[in-house]
Amino acid sequence: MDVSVHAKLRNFIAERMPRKDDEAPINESDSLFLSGRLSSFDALELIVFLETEFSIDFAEIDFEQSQLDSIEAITNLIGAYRTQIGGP
Amino acid sequence: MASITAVPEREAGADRSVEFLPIGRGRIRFIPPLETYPRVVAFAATGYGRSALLLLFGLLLAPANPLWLPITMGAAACAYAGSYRRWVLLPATLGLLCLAPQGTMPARIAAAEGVTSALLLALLPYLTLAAIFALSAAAIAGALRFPRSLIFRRPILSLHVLVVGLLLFAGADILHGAARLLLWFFLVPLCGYFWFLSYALRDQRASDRWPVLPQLGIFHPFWGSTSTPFGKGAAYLRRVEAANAQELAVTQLKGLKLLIWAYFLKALSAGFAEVIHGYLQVPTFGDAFAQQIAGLSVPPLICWAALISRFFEDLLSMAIGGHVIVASARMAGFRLLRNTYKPLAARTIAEFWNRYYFYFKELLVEFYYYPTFLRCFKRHRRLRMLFATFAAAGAGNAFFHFIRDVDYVDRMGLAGALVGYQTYLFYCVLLSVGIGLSQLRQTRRRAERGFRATVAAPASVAAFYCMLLVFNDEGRQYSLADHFRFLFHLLGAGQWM
Repeated sequence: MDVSVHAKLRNFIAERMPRKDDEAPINESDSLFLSGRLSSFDALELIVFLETEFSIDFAEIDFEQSQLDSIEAITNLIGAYRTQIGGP
Repeated sequence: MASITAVPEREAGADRSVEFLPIGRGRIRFIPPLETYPRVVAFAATGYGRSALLLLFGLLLAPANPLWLPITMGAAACAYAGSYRRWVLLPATLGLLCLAPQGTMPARIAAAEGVTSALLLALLPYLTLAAIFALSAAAIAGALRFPRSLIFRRPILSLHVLVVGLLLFAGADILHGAARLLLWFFLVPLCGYFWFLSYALRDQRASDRWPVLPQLGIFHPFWGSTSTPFGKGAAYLRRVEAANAQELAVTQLKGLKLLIWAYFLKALSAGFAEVIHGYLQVPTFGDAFAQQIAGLSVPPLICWAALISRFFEDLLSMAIGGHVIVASARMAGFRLLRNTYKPLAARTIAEFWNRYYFYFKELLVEFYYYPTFLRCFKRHRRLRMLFATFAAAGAGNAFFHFIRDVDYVDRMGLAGALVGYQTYLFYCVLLSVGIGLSQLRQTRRRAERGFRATVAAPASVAAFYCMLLVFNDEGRQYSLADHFRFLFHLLGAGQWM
């Protein structure tokens, strides 16, 4: 997975944490939703971000919130989707 | 699975158990953070420690729940079963359901249809239970075996169609005697278990899904639930299950703390009621409403006091009930998030909803919000969000409560039950508009500090939900006009209606 994907994701999530008074660092495998650090409503912003930045069509996949639960999970999702559609 | 001792305090576990009010960044702890003390955790992870925690839990639960013994035994069995925990769920849940079966309406209908056999009437709740478990097992197996079939390609939609079809059939009132009894015999438990079955059917797509029997073990699980599954479905439970003795110890310590916190809130609730309704003689909201609509003029100030007190009583009641259920699940080794978490700290309407009744919100989000958001109006950002919010907080919310109270259809007929539902439908519309607009604003929101963030915004949110309570009437006794009449009276404009 290329570095820019990680960087974009990390920036996107890091921008939202202070709104929730959450200053704790985020590691690759840290849970975002299961832990309650982000809510389902935040997932929508994340979905829109992934749709626009990485052209993911969530209607095409069996979406579950757990697929967005960590930076690691999201990068896996992006990788799997690109493989599925034969993209870069 | 990440170690739960390593996650930030905000995590579920993060029971900042002592906090309920937005008291800024400083914290007052009533219960020490036992789960962070290595020696306490080490002891709790031993056999003696685990037994001591479970014994203490049982003793604490006894005054709060008459079913404390089977719940504690179920939690203990799960705790000791370790990686076989899922296999203990069904016997524990069935044991509890046999003691307190869910849904007794078929017995009432049976009596109304002339069934006089005392034995049959006594057995009906258990037969209902057996029927719903057998049908659910068949549906789960079907979803697994025929995932591409017309019914199971979109199983949740199919389930909705089935229930609506049965409701229309029941509402047509064309069946009588044994046929009517049979229809309700299926309809009532299907409505009662609708969301449990929905989660189970959804889980069949997962590669690490549970087999059928453990799935059935979380249908009204022994740790407690309402029509809303606390702990969602197996997919969620798999991810929050304690993986080793240390995780279990931490989870159980947090469960015990949460139960103690529930007692604190219960005492607070009792004191609040004593002062408001006893010392100050403020009527309950229901009484104030009924008296005002009956023509006995209740001063607006008293109506305001009754409304505001109901707001706080609802918060406390939701928190206490949820905490007891979540605490029981944690004692069984499932690291559930709290159902209610500092609702008065919410700075937006959407955030309050997330904090007030987490598992209900999650249910609506998973079964209505996401499916709508991912498919509809993808090129229109605002419309997309508003429409998905309406699908969840409006349509989904209304459907949830309509099938939860399906007995109104029996008592009033389908048309009567729908007409009587007008106030709650209006409430759903208001709620979804409020949450939708809140979300649109939230996307532009920046991190805030100071008076606005800690006082003004939470107070505005509380005021919105407090006013919304006027229309939060799931009963069928009063019309929408009655609720507007009360609202105008509150606002000092009673003469307008």
